[in-house]
Amino acid sequence: MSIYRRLFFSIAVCIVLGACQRQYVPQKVDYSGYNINVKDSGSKNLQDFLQPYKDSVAKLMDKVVGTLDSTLKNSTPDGTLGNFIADAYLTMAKQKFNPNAAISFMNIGGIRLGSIPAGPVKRGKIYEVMPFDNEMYILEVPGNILREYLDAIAGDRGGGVAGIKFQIADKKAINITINGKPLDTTARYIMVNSDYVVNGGGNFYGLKDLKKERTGYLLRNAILDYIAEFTSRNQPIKIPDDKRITSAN
Amino acid sequence: MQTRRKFIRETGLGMAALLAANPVVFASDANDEVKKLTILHTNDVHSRLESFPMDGSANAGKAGVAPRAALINKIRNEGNEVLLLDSGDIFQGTPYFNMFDGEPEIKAMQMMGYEACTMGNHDFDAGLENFHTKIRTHAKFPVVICNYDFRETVMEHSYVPYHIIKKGGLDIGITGVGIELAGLVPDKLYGKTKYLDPIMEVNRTAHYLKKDKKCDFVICLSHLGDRYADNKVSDEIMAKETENIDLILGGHTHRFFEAPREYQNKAGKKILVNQVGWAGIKLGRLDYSFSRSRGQNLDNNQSLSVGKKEGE
Repeated sequence: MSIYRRLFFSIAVCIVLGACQRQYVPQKVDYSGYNINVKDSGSKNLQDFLQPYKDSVAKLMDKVVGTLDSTLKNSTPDGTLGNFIADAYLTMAKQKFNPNAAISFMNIGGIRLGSIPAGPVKRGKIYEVMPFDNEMYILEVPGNILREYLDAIAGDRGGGVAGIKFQIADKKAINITINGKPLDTTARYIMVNSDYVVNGGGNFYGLKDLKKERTGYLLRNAILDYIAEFTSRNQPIKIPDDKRITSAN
Repeated sequence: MQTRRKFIRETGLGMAALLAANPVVFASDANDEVKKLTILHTNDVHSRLESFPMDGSANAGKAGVAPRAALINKIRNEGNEVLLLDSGDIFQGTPYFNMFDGEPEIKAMQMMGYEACTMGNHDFDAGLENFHTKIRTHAKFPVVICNYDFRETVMEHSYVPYHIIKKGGLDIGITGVGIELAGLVPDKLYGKTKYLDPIMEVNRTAHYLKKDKKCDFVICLSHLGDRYADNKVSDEIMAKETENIDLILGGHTHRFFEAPREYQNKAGKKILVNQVGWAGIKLGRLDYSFSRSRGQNLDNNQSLSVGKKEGE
């Protein structure tokens, strides 16, 4: 067989076989999920790598900043954790920027831990609850826009609030009271909120065009400063004991 | 003549090399060849490098890169062909991120041998330039996303719309989709990033991977979220509205799936969606077996059987 015939033959074989050669197709899949736990053996390589970072983090974050007598819980439509954070915002805003601040909000998506357990609270825990470098904004909100904002909260599970109570019925806010008085849609209320929310984060754009005061104060620092007030008086951190958003259904 | 001869010689040699590299085509019953692939995945790890502290909270002791790395090594050492992937929100959630802007997160992923990731909304949290810098400096794995147009941003050369990995005799096409940024991420953080329709972009990309690049398997790393009460685009919608994707590894909604969800895609073929909560509390594992498509059944994976792995 000449070299050409051999080449021709092998090319022909390739073409024929190539035509038969199909892509692979998944036939079977088994799934499983492993729980990762510190009790299992860890990679020494990763442990050694992490150690210097861990040391720097511990230096700043392991400081105990306060004490909780019971666990703060994140839940919907409101929870002690969210309401505690809103209390911190309102208290610090009144003290530092505007004594007439009436209401404050902590958006539900921004609460990043399920709970802060009872006992000593480390600085790092507050970073985990509120990891974002969000800033405190203070703004005067007409009652009718406030009502729309509350409807948006009602339509999105709820959140943490202070100075305000309402019920949720069919994803709308009803029976709204501000410091005990029914909402007046023609009045104006001084609101404390985050740069994230007032700029349309969470898809409510009604606050975006209102005049607002940018404080430059990190909301996480508001929480830490609020906790420090109790600690400096040798008191446990105050746990909100009232339901502020309830379901009417 | 000289040229033609050279052409034939090179083509012939090329073909011979191809045949040598693919002994399977000489097997008498090539269709029975089974290929295996183990896919390991995480999502929404959110800077959880250390395990949760032992403070009595529900997650105490869970997660951590050291035990995760040990487990991944163990699975690799069992002799499996392993693919390790992440579906975004690598950043934000522990003081590590506040202090180091994501450096140890990306370094740890590189050390564990991650092979691709997509981008979550919180990966923008220290700015796009920061994400770009951390990836360029510390990651050898690609950031894969097909529906963010980064061409007018610093990310321009730090991401790919798809990535093909050859492993265990299979060509695995990987793409990724990200969630709408407006209203979720402050606009100063995402800058000139353009969000494109995920269904349209992923359909186009998956078609290219499966039909043009002849990938055996197409995976979409998604940060859209598994499903919503309203019609907001999600993994569920993507699964039903696309063709050519075999597996969606999701994130964003922090959902712990009991089992992968099965859907029929737009072409009536089976597609799976999985998600493993958040923080690296769980590592997902999918052990796939492949064989060549045959006869009339060309590329119909309708018969894909899904089972729970023994002993887990």
